[in-house]
Amino acid sequence: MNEQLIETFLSNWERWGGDWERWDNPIAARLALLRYLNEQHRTEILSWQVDALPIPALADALNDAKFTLFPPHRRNLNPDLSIGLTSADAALAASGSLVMTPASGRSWLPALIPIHHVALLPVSRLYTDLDAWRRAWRASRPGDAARSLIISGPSISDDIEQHPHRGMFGPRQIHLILFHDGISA
Amino acid sequence: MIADQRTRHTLHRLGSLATTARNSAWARVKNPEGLKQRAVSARDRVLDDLPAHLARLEESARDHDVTVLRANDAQEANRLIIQTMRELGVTDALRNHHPLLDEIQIDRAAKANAIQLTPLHPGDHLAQLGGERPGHPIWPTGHLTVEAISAILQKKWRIPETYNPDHLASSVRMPLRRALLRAHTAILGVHFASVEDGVFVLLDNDGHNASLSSLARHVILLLSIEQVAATLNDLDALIQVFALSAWGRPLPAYVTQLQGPVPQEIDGPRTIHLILVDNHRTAIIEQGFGRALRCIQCGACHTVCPVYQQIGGDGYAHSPYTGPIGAVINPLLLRSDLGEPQAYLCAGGGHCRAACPVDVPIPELMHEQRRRLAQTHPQGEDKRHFSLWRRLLARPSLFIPYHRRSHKK
Repeated sequence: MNEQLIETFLSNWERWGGDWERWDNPIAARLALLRYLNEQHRTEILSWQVDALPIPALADALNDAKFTLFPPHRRNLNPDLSIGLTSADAALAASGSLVMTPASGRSWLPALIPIHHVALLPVSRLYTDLDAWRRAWRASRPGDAARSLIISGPSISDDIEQHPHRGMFGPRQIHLILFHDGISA
Repeated sequence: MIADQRTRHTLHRLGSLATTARNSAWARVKNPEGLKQRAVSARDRVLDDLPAHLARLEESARDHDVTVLRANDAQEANRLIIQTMRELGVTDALRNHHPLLDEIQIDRAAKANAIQLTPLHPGDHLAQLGGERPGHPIWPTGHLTVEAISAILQKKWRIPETYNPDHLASSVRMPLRRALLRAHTAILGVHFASVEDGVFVLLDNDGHNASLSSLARHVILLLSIEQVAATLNDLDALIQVFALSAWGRPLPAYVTQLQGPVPQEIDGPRTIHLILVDNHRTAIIEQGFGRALRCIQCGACHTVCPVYQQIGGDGYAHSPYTGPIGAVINPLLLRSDLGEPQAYLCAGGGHCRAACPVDVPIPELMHEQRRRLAQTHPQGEDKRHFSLWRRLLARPSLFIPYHRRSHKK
């Protein structure tokens, strides 16, 4: 993986207010996730289905650590939801963005509603920019739905004299766990 | 003219912050002229043959199970919205922030039809609470001071007196988030649509569009007929220039792309209705002002305009199209007594054209408007022009900074 691409992505990710940590392999990323969740002092996490998350043996690890993942449903959404856990289909270096497309078990709501969003991202999903991702997406899935969500930083409102206020609708904080997965992009 | 100095200062500050962010963001783009040219070509490709592109968009949308309707004017657009809501059996909805919704006066139509329509965008919500009209396409309350917003919230929601912007924003946040989580029907103004694949794009930094389009079971999309891209490649160029020029970012915090309804998914709408709104746009093209419709409503021309900074959004006869582009379009959109005088709201500095990411030739179009109006009212032009300048010259405190800014470059 092109180191320059990773650095550009992380620099732009930070520019828009995201924080991150970077690990050499999925196992280290799994430990980092458990540590981060422990620090938040929350045990219930709105999440993608665990088999849609790109880290092996995550279900057992979370279970052992007494974390409960629950899928989004209208009846379990409330304004005080604390943590949402997802991955992303792609990340765009030029804008520091995550891209999500729809699929079973991968609702957008964990990235949109809780106050903290934690995203697990293998480096193999990194693209230069929107055009590069769009080309790759269309080449690999011709005719597939173009429904997508591109997230570049936390939710910010600046309606009151341009003062930036975080977390108006979406997360106040986005924590990215980037890891090398040994797959070429 | 805005008499209150604090409000004028707020507008100047908005202009200064937005311009700095925009210039800085564009400076980081590798090939800014290339990107602008892509965006201009994308706009012209569609405007040169709008009917054919709209026909293809309709076809693409229907292929993805979107119900497509057409509205010739604002009245018809509102009638179709109300009719759709009745067919869905709903009497309340949330709406996003979009100038098209203000253009058709959807709030007024909803009220007249006993529909509870709540603006979800914090700026729109505050503006509605305070009885204010949006003064800028991106920051509807950009002209309001923190004191004015505090007074609105104290009066309407009885919040404790505070002038801390974070505390004020938090006061707005919780009720809006609660409303969002109960969302059943959404009325959404669309920023852009792509003929290729029938994609509809919503842009924002606070996430109200992404959340609302995910949670609402029924979505009614409204699209100005000219905000169409022929291809996804063109769409990407438009999204990028919009974000750079509106917010000074390579992309907004949230780009939401909708296609068809997704009845089987946990999130996403079960039905999507699309209303294509003309409302004089075909006539604008026929009258030779089609290049004005290149506008993507990013608001960049507002924040560099010395006239806008002196008169604010209220100076444009309460049209949602304010600033220099409003002065071009409003004479064609509004009643003659409200629209036509706006063609003279220009100092000729040309900052608007320099700031425009899709190269709308605003000064030329404004000149063309004045020529057209002079032909319609042969003795009117000088009278109107001198009347405006007489009023400006009578207030040296307004005129001097205005004059200096106009001649800085």
